Amino acid sequence: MIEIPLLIIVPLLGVFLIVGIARKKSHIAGIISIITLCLIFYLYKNLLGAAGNSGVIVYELGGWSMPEGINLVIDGLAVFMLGIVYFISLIALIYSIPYVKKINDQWKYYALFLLFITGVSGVVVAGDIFTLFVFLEIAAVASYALVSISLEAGALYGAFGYMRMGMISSVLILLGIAISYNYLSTLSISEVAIKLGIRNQAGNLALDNNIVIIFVSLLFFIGFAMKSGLVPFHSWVVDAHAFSFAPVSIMLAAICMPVLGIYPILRIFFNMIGVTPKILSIMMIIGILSMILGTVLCLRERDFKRIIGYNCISELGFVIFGIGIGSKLAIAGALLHIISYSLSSSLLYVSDGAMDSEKKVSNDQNLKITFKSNVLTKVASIIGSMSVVGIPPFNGFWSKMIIITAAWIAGYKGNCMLIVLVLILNAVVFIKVQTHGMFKSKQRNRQSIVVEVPFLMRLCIIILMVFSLFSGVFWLSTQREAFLDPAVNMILEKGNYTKAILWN
Amino acid sequence: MHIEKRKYYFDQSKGMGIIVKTITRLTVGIVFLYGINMALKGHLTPGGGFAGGGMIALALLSLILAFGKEAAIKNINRKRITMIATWAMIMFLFLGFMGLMGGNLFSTDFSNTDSRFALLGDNIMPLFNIAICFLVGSGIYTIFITLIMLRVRKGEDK
Amino acid sequence: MIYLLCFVLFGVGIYGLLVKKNIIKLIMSMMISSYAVHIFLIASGFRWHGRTPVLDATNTMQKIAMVDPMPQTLVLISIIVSAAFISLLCVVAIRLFQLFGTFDITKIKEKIKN
Repeated sequence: MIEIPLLIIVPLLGVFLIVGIARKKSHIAGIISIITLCLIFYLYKNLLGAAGNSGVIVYELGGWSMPEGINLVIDGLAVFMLGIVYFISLIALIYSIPYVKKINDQWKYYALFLLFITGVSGVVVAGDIFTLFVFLEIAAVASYALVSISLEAGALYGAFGYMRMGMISSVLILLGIAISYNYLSTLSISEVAIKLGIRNQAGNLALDNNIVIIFVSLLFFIGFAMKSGLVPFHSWVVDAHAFSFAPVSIMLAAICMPVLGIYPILRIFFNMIGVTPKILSIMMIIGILSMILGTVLCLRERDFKRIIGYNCISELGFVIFGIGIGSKLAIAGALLHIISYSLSSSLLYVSDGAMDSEKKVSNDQNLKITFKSNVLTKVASIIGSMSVVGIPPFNGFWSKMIIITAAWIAGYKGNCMLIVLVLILNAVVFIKVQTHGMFKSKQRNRQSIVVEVPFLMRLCIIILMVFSLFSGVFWLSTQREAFLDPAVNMILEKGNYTKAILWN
Repeated sequence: MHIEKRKYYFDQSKGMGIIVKTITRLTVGIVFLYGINMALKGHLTPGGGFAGGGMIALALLSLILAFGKEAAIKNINRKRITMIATWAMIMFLFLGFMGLMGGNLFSTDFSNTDSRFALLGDNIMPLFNIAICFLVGSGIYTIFITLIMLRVRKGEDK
Repeated sequence: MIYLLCFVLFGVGIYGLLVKKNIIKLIMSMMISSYAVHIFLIASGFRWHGRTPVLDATNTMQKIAMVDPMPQTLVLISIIVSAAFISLLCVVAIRLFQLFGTFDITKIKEKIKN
């Protein structure tokens, strides 16, 4: 039970240690961050079995009990999200150890990395909205600094666009918190659910007609949709992904956009305010627009990283579409899709980073090093493209199949046709990438030295390739009951969250 | 030391005019003390560590604005502020873990029965506010110093 | 009436974010819109004929009609977070000026596209 705040404190301790000790030598910073992540994994393992099927663990900070104090809550959905976060951050950390030799001060990168993990852990574990907001700001500021850490022109421009959208979203979320606090005079999620439920039952104001609640839910939805890069608010995604470092792009695509964007939508709409068919249909419309625009807009792109960025928008459209359908199968499929899209876009970014990245040798700016593109990186990019498009044994297939089946069962047959169109367009884009990009030989700079891909990068590529066959495993019944079902239960029944907290 | 003070005080090329310098000299101490006051009484009045830390940082910043860059940073330079920040962080975490003795993390179960110390409250909040006050103040001050001392070398790198 | 001021300020901030091209004006518009939300939060905590929320020796821990201290805490935390954020933005703006010599977002975008 003490592990829940330790999940937040241990990376923070790592940041303090790196800032205090490891300024001169960069190896120590890397070692400290790896040790920190291993400690976090150990704490997380202790939490895995403890939450149970539909139970929660509540930790009251400071001994103040529920409505007045800060609670940290872990339930099935939080365990699910934390698993994705820690696994992908471990891979990004191992990948970035040989990669960040480009920067002069490496300890800054590791410190910002651990600070980002602190913020994300806090967002997932938070039990009231304002704690969620504070940790959201911490994670967002750390990610702005991470995107712009290379101080080149493109990185700064991408970071500026990202910061602009992030600021608007923070302001909208804060306005939503302000109005909901003004109306309901409480900040914790379960309390708001109780109060809105009481108002529903007494027949005063139903959820659909209460204009304050509609305004608040719109504000929250727009704010978090901006953070997660859905369609009317997708302008920052491509620039921020394309110009940043490869491990930072992995963190943005696989951790920042689902966990800081979609997870709060799940918490607020399914556990706090309650869903009505109108909100679900808005989610479905935004999902379909994201899917279509994400694939159509990248047909003219030439840069591989920009194509992966547009693909991330499209995949998140899938997730929101699955959530918007609302049935149990669809939400399970959406959560499974978060796993599979994280793994596949990580694999694509990792293989792209290992392909032609240039490294400066000491102070001589004319001498560049390019990595020899060997069989491993080419095969990795092929496997990544196949799993993104959705070819059977790889992990894009299972989740897309489940979502399409759920849409068909629920009766949205026209949308199914649109999804199939989108998948065909996806396939077109990635086939174009593979034929034009990978199999032509690039002309090398005459002044560049060609070296082998470093061992740690190769290790990450191999791990991710193995895991890209793995997502179908989650649909087998034992894994599903352990991992996915608690998450879905906690989302679907609106009273589950509050009932479980009250009983504790 | 007497001569050094006059060097900063009458030098009109650095910092602002002499009226601003006089008034800043008189009021910086008051602002600083009021910030510390607000931080120490955080369990009774609204404010607490955050507000106090902000005011301390602002007091130091007004010194930089009025007296010029070199005069203020020579005394309160980056090493000292980083040291204050590090010690404040250590104190913060130590207090958090000390709360484990009373139950949960950051717990507040200390008993205080002496009537003269009644306003100090019966919990850990005053110490906590002190740590946060120094942390926030040094953090904002570090940000400002980094922005000021940004130097451009010829070429690309910072 | 204070809420009208809040929404006018918010509108001004959003207008600036949408229309202006200079980076410094964009930063200032962001700050204006965050000021609007902070004023909204503090104004929503006001109670008519409420005292200052100070506990002294006469009324420790009793609930008398006080102005709500909770939004003030939220606003403080938000101010400090946005201070860090704006300083990051300023660093990005300075660095972009050193690299490109202009503060105009559209011209920077064209130079990057090439």
